[in-house]
Amino acid sequence: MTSSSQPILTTADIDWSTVLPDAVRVFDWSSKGRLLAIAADGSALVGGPERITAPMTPDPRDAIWLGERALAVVDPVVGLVTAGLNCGQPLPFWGACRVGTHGGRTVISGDGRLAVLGHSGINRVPEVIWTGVGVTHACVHVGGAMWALGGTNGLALIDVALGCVDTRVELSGVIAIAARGDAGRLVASDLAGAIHVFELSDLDSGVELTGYCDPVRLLAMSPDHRRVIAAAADELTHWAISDSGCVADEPTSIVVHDSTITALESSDSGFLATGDESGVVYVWSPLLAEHPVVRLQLDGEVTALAWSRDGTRLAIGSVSGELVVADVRAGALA
Amino acid sequence: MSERQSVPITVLVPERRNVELLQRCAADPSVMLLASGDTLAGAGLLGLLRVGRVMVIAPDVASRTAGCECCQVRLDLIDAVRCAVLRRSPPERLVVVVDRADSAVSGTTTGDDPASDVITAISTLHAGGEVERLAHLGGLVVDVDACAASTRLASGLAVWDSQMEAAIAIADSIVVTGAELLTEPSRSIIADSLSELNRIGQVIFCATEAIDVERLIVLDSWNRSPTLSCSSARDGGEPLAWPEVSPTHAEATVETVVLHRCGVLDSDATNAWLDRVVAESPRGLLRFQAALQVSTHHSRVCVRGSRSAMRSTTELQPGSTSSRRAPDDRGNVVVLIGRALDRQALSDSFESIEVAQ
Repeated sequence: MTSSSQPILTTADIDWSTVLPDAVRVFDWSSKGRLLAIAADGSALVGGPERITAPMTPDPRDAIWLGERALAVVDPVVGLVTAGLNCGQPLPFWGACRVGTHGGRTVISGDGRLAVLGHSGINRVPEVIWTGVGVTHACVHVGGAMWALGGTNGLALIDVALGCVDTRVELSGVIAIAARGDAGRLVASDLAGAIHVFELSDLDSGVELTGYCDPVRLLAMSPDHRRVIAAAADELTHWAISDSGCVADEPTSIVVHDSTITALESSDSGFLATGDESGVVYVWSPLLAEHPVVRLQLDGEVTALAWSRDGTRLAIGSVSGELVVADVRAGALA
Repeated sequence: MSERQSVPITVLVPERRNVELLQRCAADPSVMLLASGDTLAGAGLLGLLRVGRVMVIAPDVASRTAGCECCQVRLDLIDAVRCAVLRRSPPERLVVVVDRADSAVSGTTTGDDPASDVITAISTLHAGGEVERLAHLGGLVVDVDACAASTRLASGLAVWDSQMEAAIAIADSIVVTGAELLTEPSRSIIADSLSELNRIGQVIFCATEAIDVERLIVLDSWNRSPTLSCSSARDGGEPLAWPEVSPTHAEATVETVVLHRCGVLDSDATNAWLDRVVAESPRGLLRFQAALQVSTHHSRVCVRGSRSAMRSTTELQPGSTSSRRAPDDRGNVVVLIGRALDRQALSDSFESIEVAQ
């Protein structure tokens, strides 16, 4: 996109759309812009709408690209199922619910354990690290060989290169984690409805943000690390963080959605996308935080959102299986 | 865009692994079964995973407040309900199986393992958030093994452990299976024991194959005015006086308190009273359900919950979609089931709620 063609206002043009056999659960974009979408029945859209597979697992919980040609799906009963790696059998891992990859290592988290595998050796016996956080509910890469895991008993930083737990913090049921690798900061929400902001260098002294009735399941951090964004019911809340790391006493509250927000995703370019149970998707510009710049309508509750790595494409999935990919062009003003 | 309906949930508590009952529940194509892997495997139902008819759950208990037992919820249930309902074609009903710990099956005293505690599961379904948005608790069914209960009785053991006792006390239906193998006196003793413990549900004695599964699991007991079992209901405005616990079942510590009152109550005072009731005995309060007239222009408000979780809805009359109507003369009724409830104090405080001006 050149500056001469840059619109004044941000636009979103639907590039293509299709319908999956069941509700869209998970998206992942490859580094070269290929989309992976997993439906609730386990079928997968790989690359484009013309390629939808048969169900890979009965109850998929997470999925990722492993490079450009292979993918992995985790299922709490089946374990890890891969495609494109010439592994005929799934890797058993009871309770597997999150999968991630970075720096040639793939991690699977589940019932108190984190399994670490290499891409080429995905069918080998993995290295297993006991996390001490119980059942995992969130797993995020936070830089280098470090991963943050949130679970029933708290939060843990795991060094997968050394194969050990680096730091552990007791919290009452971590539901979601947001982190950006270069920020040195992570945000976690707990079962009590609080959000905790931690500096990675000192997990023992976090800041607690309160005021939510229910646990906050949807969390994001802006790419400049200056805002924590949380969605609760139909409300978006932005917590500003100063240069010195101090968090504002009160959040900025924005109510634009008419129904419960069900999906939230921020892009590396600063855009934010939110979707609700009525099928409405709003795109929010970093230049105009309090008003959405784009509105899209799907035919059912929004169940998944994902920005491409370059932040120009947004994948949206709904409970009816509708899948839309939109090209988002940043405007000069908003 | 079609409006999504809240999916009713029936919680099923089998005292022993009643394979046949589970299989019959699973045979209904409109039902999705949520149970442990062992239970599904034991019933030969794991294959239904492939067609999305069953889902494996493994208890994952956490407390909303560190160290607080009454704030415990099952995170696995919240996840499972979400995954089960957010489908293109969601099931018409979810049946959640709460497995009993092995020690409970054998009749020995169990610890307070929250993983096998039906109250924790019930509280989770009232805990708000995602579960409240997608689904609602319809009813609780407890399956009692008549032979095991009779053996324990004859051996002088505690008939029910504390968790089973709680489950029976708050159940909407109690199915007693295997009773055809007992003598008539033994059946009577078990029937008496159950009706002493449970004042709100129905007790069904029959063989598993004779159970009408649809009637058993299709309940809508929690979102309406509380009903008392036939032998318990009575007219009048006075609190019901229940018979004393019989000496043979002195261990039955769960009691039911029923409060009646006429008139339109002040809504703020009623809210404050409910908050106080929950705050004073959160762990002991196993189930509460009320229909309260707090407005002269609208239907009664139905309140239900367990432990510290409380939810309310407006009572809808059959065939009506509006809550706006003249107040009726059915008054206010509150049913509290729990341990160590102070019947007199509850009655006095309920009577002291101001009437609406």
